[in-house]
Amino acid sequence: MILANNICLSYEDGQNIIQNAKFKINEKDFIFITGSSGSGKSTLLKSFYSDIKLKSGVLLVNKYNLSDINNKKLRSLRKSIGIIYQDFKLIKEYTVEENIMLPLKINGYSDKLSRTQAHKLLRHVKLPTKAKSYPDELSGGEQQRVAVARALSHNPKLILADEPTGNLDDYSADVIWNLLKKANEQLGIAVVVVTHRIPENLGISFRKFSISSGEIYES
Amino acid sequence: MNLKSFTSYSIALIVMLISFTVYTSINKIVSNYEQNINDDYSIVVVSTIPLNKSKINDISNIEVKNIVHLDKEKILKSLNEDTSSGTFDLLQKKLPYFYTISLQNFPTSSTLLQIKTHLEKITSIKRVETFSKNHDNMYSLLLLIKTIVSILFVSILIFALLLMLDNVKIWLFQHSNRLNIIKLHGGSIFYGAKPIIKIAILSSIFSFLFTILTVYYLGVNLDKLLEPELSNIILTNLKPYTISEIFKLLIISIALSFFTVFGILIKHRIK
Repeated sequence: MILANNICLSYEDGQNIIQNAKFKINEKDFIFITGSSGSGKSTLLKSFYSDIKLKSGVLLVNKYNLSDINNKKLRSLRKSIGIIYQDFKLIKEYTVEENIMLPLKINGYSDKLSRTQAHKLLRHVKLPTKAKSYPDELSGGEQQRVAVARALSHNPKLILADEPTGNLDDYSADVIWNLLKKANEQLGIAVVVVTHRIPENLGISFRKFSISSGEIYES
Repeated sequence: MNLKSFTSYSIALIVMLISFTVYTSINKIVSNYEQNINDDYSIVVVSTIPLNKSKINDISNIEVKNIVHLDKEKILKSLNEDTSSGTFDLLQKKLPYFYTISLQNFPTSSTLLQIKTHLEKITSIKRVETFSKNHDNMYSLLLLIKTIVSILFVSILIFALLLMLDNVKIWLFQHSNRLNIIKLHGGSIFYGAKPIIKIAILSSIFSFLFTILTVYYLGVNLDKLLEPELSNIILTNLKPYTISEIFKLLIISIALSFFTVFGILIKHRIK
């Protein structure tokens, strides 16, 4: 699923963030990446969908080699994964339904099929009545549930989540953790979550990567 | 997409289309006018042997539209009363052939000079009279009008294009958040820019219709807007626009919109 061999990541000014990291993430894994603020955990996650380029090393994600990837392959890679952001990144001009349909439409599915899948997911995230609402009309927790539904819409084998509960209250955070847990347990989706706080009593086995001084340790 | 941005894009396109219509209209008027004055002018050639159209074409490489032989009898008739019969007979034998030559296209001054030189090189031709004096004045005026209109059109084209490109950049900036999210989900920039492309096409159709209506209004009210002499020249020399010419204007409008939108999108994609 993800294979990193001696990868190095750096800021634009050349300062190293991650050095010679080596790890493997398998199918159906649930991974937490933790570390202090500025440790590079979000940067590492961004490198998985090539929002940040590798400085050196080899990184394979869904069999795509990110050390040598062109625009076409990059688009294919991004189409094959689901991404959840701390700031939700929902399109304000689109309704909730249209936001969920977006990855499906990009993947070339028909309007009818995309809409059916969106409504199924809205029921799954307990927002069946919000299909025609706009993101601004929803609470933060509801917006993140829509973002989870969007990430699940095209049945990806990998979900990347960057601080998915960072802006949410405890109740909303629990809802999101449950949705991610179900995605991993019931659908077999590998989930990689960047967070500074691992939820207690998640009730699922997971692996934890810690980043400190640019190095990655598994504990 | 706000109305202001849409309007400024459309205005630039309308100005460009109107200036293009004016440019083509002036060209049509001038060409037609050239044709008319061309018919009024001719070169007078005096030759010792009979000439015909193909002969002139072959020897001097001139595109002759028409060659008219001036009847000797008529010329002699006017001299008949003042000359003795002996002199008249001699004149009748010795008088060369007179021709007026009309050209296929209205020539430039230099071409006219070349034609004269070519004709004078032919040994049988004794004298060539061109219309250079009148020609110079008229042709220079037409050339001046054509040049001014061309310069104006090119200037407007450049400024309008820059304005349109700037507007597309504004649209792209207005949609940057959405484009970025779509990009993160693997969508191409062209997929994300669908609304911008739609607006550009809509604007090109709107601008085309506005231009057609404006030109039609100007055409109908030409006598009220211009001096009668000028409006007469235009009405006499400007043939009505054909369906294919109107369709060409629509194609130009859409092509310009595509060029500006895709130009900026491709530049953005490369970045």
